[in-house]
Amino acid sequence: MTYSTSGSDSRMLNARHLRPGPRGRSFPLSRLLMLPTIAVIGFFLVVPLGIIVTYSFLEPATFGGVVWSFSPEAYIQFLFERDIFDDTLAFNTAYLQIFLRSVSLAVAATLVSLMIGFPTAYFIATRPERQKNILIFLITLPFWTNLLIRTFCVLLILRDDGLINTVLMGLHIYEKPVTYLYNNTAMAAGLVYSYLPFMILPLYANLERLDKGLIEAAYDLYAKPWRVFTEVVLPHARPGIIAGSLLVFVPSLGTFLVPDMLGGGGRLLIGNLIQLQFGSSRNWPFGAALAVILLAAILLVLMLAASRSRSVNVQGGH
Amino acid sequence: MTIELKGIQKVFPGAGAQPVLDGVDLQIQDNEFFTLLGPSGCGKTTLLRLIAGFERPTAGSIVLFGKRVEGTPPNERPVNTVFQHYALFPHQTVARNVGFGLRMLRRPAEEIDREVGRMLELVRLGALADRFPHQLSGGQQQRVALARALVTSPRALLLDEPLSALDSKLRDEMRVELKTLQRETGITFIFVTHDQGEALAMSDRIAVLREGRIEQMGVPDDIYERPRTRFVAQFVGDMNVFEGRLIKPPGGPFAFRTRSGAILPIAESTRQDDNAEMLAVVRPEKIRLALAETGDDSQGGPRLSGVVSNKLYLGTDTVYFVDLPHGETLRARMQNAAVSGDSFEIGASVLVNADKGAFRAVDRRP
Repeated sequence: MTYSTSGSDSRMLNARHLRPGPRGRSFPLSRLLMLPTIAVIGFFLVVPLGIIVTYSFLEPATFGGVVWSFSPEAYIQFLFERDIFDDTLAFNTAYLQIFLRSVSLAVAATLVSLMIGFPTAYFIATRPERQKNILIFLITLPFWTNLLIRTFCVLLILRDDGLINTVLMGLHIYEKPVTYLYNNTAMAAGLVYSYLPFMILPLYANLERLDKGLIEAAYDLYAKPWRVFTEVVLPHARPGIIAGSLLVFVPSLGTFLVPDMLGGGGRLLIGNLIQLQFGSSRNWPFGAALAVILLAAILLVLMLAASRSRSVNVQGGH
Repeated sequence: MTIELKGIQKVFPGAGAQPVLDGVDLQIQDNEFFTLLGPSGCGKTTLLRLIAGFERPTAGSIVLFGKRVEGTPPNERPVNTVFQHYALFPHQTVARNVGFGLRMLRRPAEEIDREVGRMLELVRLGALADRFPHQLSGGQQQRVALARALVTSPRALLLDEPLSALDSKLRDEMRVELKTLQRETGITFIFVTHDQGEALAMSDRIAVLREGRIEQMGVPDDIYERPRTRFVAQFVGDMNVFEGRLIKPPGGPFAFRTRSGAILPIAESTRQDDNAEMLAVVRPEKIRLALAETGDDSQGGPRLSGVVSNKLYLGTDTVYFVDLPHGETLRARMQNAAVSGDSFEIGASVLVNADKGAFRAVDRRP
């Protein structure tokens, strides 16, 4: 069956043609309904993306903005340092280190979110219907507040005269405040706190559909609890784990709020680096190039995840 | 004694706290095909889950093969379950599904391969070993579930309405297959069903459950021919039921006076006291009708006459509704043995004949 929109048909556009449904022969209404989405994505995703890629191959102007002449300098700058005097290139890992630090922090945040999120999602999914709805509502509650304010609240809890230190010192467990802030752990904690719901929600949606009969069947056939988990729960949950991990990993990789506030601003992540280039450093092409590199890295991860879940499907999943 | 349950009580916490099972005693022999029969909500599945180990009894003892097991988890009990919706592992092939139990028992790989192959042959699924469950038909999935539960040679197989998800033709085939499988493997089968036909066709013994209690237990013939309560009489097969009183003439045989005054001869009664309020029951197929003018072949059975008020043609049989002079209606099921004709028209006057033992009196208790 084809959806060809022949000339005569579209001229005769009438109520019959606007009827939705798979058998609409000329111009199905469902296609019209897609237009707003296409317009929004086209205008606010494809066009800005084009601008970023273009800018990354231009030269920086002195006070921000770009000079319209082609130059791969921004990408060279990512890996090499150009000597001011003789223009020779020396390999420089400074930016690469920031990039790798961002990736490892995002990986850590994803793993911790998974370890906290999986039991939580499983717990909620096995509650009675009424409790489930309440618990899921509670999980989504943080979204009611701005991310900046939530991150600031973490700061209030962790800082030297914050909630934890006040309590610990009040109980005389410590005499001097312990510094929790301004290190990788604090940043990871902030990321986990910010994005944990994105891990829990897809996992919950997945685990909620897990047939309890399968667990009983495995248990009945001499499986120990751990084997029930690896043989039945985990294969079922794989799509949920992949979805949740991506939803945590991707925004964690690009974050600049968390390192700014919880990292103390001294430990740059790629997100901050990009922000800097468009701000005080006034090197738009380099910022654009960093954004493109980040995008490429994320796309690579997405493609890996996609091929992974496809191979799971071939194995006979759903 | 294979499986012995004593004084089993099960109360689920929460609403009402009405016991689901209340004082169930059961003994199931080795190699028996034992059926738990009852309507939905009677506790039959809960009873099965207690034996499997998915639930713990609130009170009472469960002994499997000489070992008390109330606190033993399912993975340590030598019984396996075939679930109502099969519960096949969707991410595993047929062969891996069947081999699951052996893998969990850490049997050597070559033994697993051998046993899985043998079991797949037994259920005639050898060609489908590499398929996934969703690629199989309902009947094939059913057989995979059977093979998976049987491959570890459990001492008893628990089947929870395993045929209810199949269409009727396939269900008839699987009945025969199950029965054959049970005979060939010599494993005790405990079969849960709400289908009385299934229970009668397959079982060595049946326990009829109702509201958490065993109403009657016995061989199929016993359950069908000699129901002891109104519930069993009406749940298993079709039954004419008349309310009234037992009459016990001194020395003579029992009789029964229905509420509207008809007198029925009674062969057997669960109670003996004269004038007891009871029920007279008779199976529709035990009744023979004859046109009033042809005469009487009751051979000492009841002498009743009536008028055909309705009839249902069922192919093999026809069910006639006969209005008795005192106001009650009797259903008679007559086999359509003759090639054509030989039926009674609506409005025809008929004599009701039956063999001597056809009418029985049972307790009135609902």
